[in-house]
Amino acid sequence: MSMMRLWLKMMTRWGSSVMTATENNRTVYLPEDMLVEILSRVSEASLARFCSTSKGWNALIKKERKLDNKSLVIMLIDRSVYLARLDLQGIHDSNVVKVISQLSLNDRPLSTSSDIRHVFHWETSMMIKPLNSYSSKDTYPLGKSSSNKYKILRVHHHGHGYLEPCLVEYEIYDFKSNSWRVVGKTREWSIPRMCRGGTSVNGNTYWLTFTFRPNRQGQRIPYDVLIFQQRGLNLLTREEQKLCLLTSSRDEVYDIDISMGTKIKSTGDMSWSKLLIVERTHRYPFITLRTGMIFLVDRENKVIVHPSNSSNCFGRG
Amino acid sequence: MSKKMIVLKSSEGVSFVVEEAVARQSKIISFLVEEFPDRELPLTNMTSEILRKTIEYCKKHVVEDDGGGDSSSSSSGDLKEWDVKFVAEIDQPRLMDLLMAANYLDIPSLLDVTCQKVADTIAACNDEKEIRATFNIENDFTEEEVEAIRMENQYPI
Repeated sequence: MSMMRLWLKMMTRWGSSVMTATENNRTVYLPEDMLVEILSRVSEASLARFCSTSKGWNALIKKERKLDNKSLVIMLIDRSVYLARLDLQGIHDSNVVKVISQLSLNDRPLSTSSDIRHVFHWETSMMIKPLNSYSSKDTYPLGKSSSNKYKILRVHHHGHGYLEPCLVEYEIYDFKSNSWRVVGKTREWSIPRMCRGGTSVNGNTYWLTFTFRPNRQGQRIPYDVLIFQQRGLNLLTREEQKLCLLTSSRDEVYDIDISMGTKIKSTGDMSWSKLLIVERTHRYPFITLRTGMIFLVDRENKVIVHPSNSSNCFGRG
Repeated sequence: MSKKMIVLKSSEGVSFVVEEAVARQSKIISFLVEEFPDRELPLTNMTSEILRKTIEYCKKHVVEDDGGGDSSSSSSGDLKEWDVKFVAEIDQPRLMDLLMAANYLDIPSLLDVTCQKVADTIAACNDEKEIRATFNIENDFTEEEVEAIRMENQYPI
């Protein structure tokens, strides 16, 4: 590439402007892609206030919001929390377009990583000790009570909870009294170990559980799958999210069904409708799909995205 | 061992002699150094002031290879603090210049801190009037249009 052509290429980066700064009759212009980059770092609640700044801003904010809503996800990988933007429009080696914020849970104190606190609106961090000893088998979902108070639920398993019942204890932590309260014990359901991460949809967290009901001989047998729901907080997106369940046949033709939860009745029963069917697929692309794995579905583009060690795997309906 | 130096020239024609490792944080300069070794690199749309600031940033962030194990010149915590202070001391128009320079020279970390600073400035504004004043943006809406947008963006609480 000649020097001249390279300069020309660089000059075109200045582009058209929607943001300026003036000083002594000197004006600095910001091109649109720069402003998009900047606006993507401003919280959505703030952005809503600034739509009426100018026509250029209004259009950009609307565009940005559309992008955000489609693809902003919070991920927990190897004890690090990521807020990332995904590109669901195509199949790539990695569909994570950009990691917006990142926080390692091994870092202490949390207050040093200020960017993620922006995301979660954290002012301070605090240490909460469990009632009994800490166990790696525990799950600690954060939620809100009916009176709108934050609570932590601790679900403590005395076993792996897979296919056979184990004792499950659950306790609730109250922030106001700074204390744990034992709620109950059961052998009727358990969350298998690989599902204990849960999945968050519109501020509610859901787990796949096994329920166990006694048979005629009085043995408890795995009966069906129960979606265990926890009311929670809506962290980020205002987009419409639905809970999805992925099931696969293990016959020779390998079909994968993705169902969408449509309605939760007051009894807790949920009705499902078929959303996408990936027909006669090879097993290979889905080999890394496992029970309890969290995945994303884009209905419009007929794409599912799920994490794997090497790269994303995809299916198209 | 003497370090290889390269020469960058600002729009006013002022030459800056910098270590290659420092300048190579810019992907563009890195490319140019390989393509055109031993040539002075004219940065025609960067003023001396902004070029000086950019070099100051790159010097602080340079990772020296010849030291072996402990290679980073500062710990990452210190560096973050330094970055915050660095952008806090720059006024609005110069910050925009620096942001454009980071974009132009392709220095991702500098682009990141400058964009974040502008984003923080935007978030700190109370309303669109303050935004317009801060960034010198012309209001091209009519009263009715503004009202319509306001209604559209009301948050359901």
